[in-house]
Amino acid sequence: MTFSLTLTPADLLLMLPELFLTLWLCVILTIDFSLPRFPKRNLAYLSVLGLAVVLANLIWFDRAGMTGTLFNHMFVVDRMAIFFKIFIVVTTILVILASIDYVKRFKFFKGEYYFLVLMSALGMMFMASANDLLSIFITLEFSTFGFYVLVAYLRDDPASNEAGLKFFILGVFAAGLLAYGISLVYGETGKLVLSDIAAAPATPGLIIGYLLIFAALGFKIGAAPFHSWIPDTYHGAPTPVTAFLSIAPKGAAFAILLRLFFISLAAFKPAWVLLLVLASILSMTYGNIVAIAQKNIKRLLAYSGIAQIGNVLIGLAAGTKMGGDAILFYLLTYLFANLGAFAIVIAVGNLINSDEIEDYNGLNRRSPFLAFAMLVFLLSLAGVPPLAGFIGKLYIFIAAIKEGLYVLLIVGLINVVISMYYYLVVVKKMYINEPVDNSPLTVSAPMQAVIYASLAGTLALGIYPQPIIDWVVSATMMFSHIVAPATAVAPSTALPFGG
Amino acid sequence: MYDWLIIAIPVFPLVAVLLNGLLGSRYSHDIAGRIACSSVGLSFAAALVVFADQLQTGGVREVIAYRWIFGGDLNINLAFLIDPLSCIMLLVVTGVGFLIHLYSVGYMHGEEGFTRFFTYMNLFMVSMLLLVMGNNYVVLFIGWEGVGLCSYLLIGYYYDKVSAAKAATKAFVVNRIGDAGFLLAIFLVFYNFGTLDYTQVFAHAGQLSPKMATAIALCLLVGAIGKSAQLPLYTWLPDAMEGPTPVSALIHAATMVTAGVYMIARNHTIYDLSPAAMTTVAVVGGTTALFAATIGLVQTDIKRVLAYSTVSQLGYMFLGCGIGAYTAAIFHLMTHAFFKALLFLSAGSVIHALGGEQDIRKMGGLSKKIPWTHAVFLIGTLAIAGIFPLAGFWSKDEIMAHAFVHHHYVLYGMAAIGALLTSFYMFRLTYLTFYGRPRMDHHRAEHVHESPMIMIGPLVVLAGLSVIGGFPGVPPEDGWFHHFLHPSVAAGAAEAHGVGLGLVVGLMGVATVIALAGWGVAHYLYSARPEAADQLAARAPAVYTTLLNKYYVDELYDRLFVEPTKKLGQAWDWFDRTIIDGLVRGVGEMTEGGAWLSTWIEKHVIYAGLNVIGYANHLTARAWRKLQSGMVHHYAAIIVAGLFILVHLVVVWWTTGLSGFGVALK
Repeated sequence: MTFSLTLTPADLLLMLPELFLTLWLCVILTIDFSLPRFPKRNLAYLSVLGLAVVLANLIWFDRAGMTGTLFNHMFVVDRMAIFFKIFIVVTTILVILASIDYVKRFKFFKGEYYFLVLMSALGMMFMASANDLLSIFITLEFSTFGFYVLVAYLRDDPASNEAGLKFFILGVFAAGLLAYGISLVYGETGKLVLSDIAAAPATPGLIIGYLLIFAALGFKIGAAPFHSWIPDTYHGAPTPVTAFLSIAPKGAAFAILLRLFFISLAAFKPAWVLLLVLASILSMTYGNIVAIAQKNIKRLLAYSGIAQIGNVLIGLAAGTKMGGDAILFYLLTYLFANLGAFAIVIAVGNLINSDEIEDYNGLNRRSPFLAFAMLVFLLSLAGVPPLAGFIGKLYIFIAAIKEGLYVLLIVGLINVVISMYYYLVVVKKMYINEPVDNSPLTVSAPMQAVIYASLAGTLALGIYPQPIIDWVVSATMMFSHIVAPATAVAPSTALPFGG
Repeated sequence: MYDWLIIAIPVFPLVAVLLNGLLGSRYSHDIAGRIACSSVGLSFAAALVVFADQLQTGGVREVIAYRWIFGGDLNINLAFLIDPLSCIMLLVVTGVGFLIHLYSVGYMHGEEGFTRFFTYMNLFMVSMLLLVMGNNYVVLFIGWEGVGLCSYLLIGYYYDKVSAAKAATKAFVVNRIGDAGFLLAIFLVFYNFGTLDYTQVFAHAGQLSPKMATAIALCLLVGAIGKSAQLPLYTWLPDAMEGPTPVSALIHAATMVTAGVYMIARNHTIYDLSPAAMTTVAVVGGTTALFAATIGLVQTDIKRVLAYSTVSQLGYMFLGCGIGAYTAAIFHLMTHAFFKALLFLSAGSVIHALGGEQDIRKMGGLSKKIPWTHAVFLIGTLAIAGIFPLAGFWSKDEIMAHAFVHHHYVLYGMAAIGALLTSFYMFRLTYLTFYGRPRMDHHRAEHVHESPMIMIGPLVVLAGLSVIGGFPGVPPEDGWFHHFLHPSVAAGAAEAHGVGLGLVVGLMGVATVIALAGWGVAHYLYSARPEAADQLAARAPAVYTTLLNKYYVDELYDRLFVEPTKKLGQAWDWFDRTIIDGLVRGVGEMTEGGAWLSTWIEKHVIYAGLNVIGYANHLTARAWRKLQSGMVHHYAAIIVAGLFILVHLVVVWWTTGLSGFGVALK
């Protein structure tokens, strides 16, 4: 492979958001250590400002239809990459705003917190653009390094330390799997760019290589059976980090999964549908059933997140452009509902210093705003119309039924019923149980902004989703080549019901 | 007529929701109540205009509010369908809803959270209107879930009642079971037709294979059973009586619970294609009608008797749908909305008068003290029992006559016995509440008072409707009601009309005798010889206890479904925690674990990776053995195990030529 590094300014324009963010996080770090008196709270606002500029830049790219590749196709900018970058940047902005009160708990390195969050965001933005196996590995690791530190940020808290170590060891393990898988795929095909390896014929080595890569990415998104790190890590990590970890890396990993499955593996679709169906069923069922037994809200949301990812995998299993649309849309609904729910967990945690579900008793009387917002977010996660989560589930299930995935659909629907139960348990505690302490709770301004933004997103995506649907449909246009399953599987007319 | 007027029907209460929900705390309860009532009043007025227009022009009218979900092949508008069926539903929902709102102003006066109550009630109206007006399955489903959510919020309205909270959760979860079936039906419809609009689906319904029609119809039925509280998903409705009484009247008697009947009538084109599904509907309805009536015989809570009666009456409507008498089912839906709302509201008036007492064993002798309530309750009882010529007589008799004429003798028998029991338990309720010796304590007896005018007014109107509500359907099978509804629910095969007048009158006579017989037995047991009832209960204690405990169905469901799921969750949770508890013991071990892990990876993962298949069993076994003690590497072990299972699966699958069990899963 010849490797030329001739870059023109026009090429670099494609990386403008990343380059700007790199510059900005250096600025943040420099201000932090050179101006010790500079209030840390303002560092947060400065970070948000930088991210807002990046967001504006990305929206401009999207409107202008900016596309292209860099570094021998390692780095790609297309509408899907821009979608995921916007997804990541929005998540990061909301997470930083939700962190401001929480950061006061840290004894040291308050400024570096924002730096690390921005750095992880940067890594994930690169993930969204990763277009060959090497850049997948590098960007994935890059984005994870920040998290290794962030998860263990509460230095005095053994749970946080444990969570950090656990996450680190398992993360390294997953990285090993990924590297090994990549080496196998490269060994079999001699190619690295995702679209190039699509042409390779299936060999056992290639299949095992792909499975290893899938396992590593499954680890990243927390799909069963690669989910085992999730509950403890989510539980032990500082709550804003948990919120960040539960949304942004999953989105970024789905950018890679979509490219991998829909571009490199498009021809093998009949072979991987079953794999994804199984992973999806396992994630949904396991996540939802174990969530019932949880006493801690962070663990509950951890298991609920596993189940939600099971739902997203339905779209991947459908393996069509519509499935891709549905994944993008679903991730957005998940972003607002899950982030909103975590924002409330952070707010409540800051105020009463507890994450136990018991302590949500009577929240409605202490803060009707928090209780109502939580109700909306949980109902959206449960898929109750007309909230965002309903449209997401409807979209993804419709994509699945078009491919005739009946079993998956039925299991999914049963899981919707199960999930309703544990979300309602929280609602019941908030609205019906008596509070131990009746003092009203007040929410700080940045936290209110996060909650209002999440509420607005959750309601708007449910009541008037059309602009966003148009956006995701155009963002996945490159997958329009994937059509109904090839002849290898039963034609969709031969169905159990004889339809 | 203007499209905006149709769109405005659900928008009026929506505006009230936003006003009261967002600003309600800034003004008095009085104003909140007025906003709530007038919004529903406006909807009712608009519905009347729409109805008048429908009478003149006829036909089907579709109004698109806005483009909602347009992505790829999925095209869904937020749009409304106005035809005779939705007109009738609109009038019932807004009309009865308006009366109940008025009544609630009096009933809820001075309660904590008065504004919140009306916000939920109006939100309910919005959802219910979407449900009956939607022109596609998704709008129907939004309304369907929305009414369920409002029902949840309103059942749990009394925060301080633990039983209310449990009942609310139960109602929602049981409804979600039905909804899963409904959603599956929606997806099957989409799969077969590529659209979810009623008009297009029904226009092409003929192309469905009989099996697929049956599958869709049965899935829809599961949804209908959940929402309309039929066997086996009826258990939530009696518990739902924990909510305020106007809620029971509006949601759990007159409107929401009839949504299942509406849905089946709306989808009659699909049901007509599947005799098997029709039979199932009829059997479910007939069985429920009889089953719920038997439980109603012995209940002692005034609202629970009415709740079981509602379940039973809904059974009649299902029975009607199942034998193809859609018009009769909708007719019964309408008359039932009148007299059951009347009964619940007057029961509320009784409870109000007694300061919250609901146990009929502690009532009695109230007829003189609350004469208005007594009069309207009696009218309601006569109507539901099927006494000529009140509303319930015509509609119930039509369903039963249809069953008899079309040779469904078993179903007719069930319905007839059910009617006898209905008449009996309703008169039992009346006797125990209003006649005989007062059994309440002295303190309560002194404070018995008639309800205020704002509550009596709606009761009188509903009583009037319960008396005359049956006449639009006279003569049976050929009344004004039938002609009006004919375009919406006409069956594919024309309904048989060649029934002799003698048979019709004969069946009416039988129905009247049945109703009078129930009254007579109740009179004998609870008025003429009050001690006979207890003797009867004592003579068959097993039957009595079984009925009193509602056939132990709740306990059975707990054992079969609720507990095992919880146990499984706890077991898996334990598994998750136990595997990792080594970590809690100390971070010191971690380094060791990490070092061990890297050797372990080197030795086994990489090596095994090269010889995957051969080493799979060995490694899996090792990994599982290590699961017992609990360290971080066990996480890794789980991942490796998962990976190996996947490798096994895919390699097996791949070697069998990419077919194998893949197809079986689809």
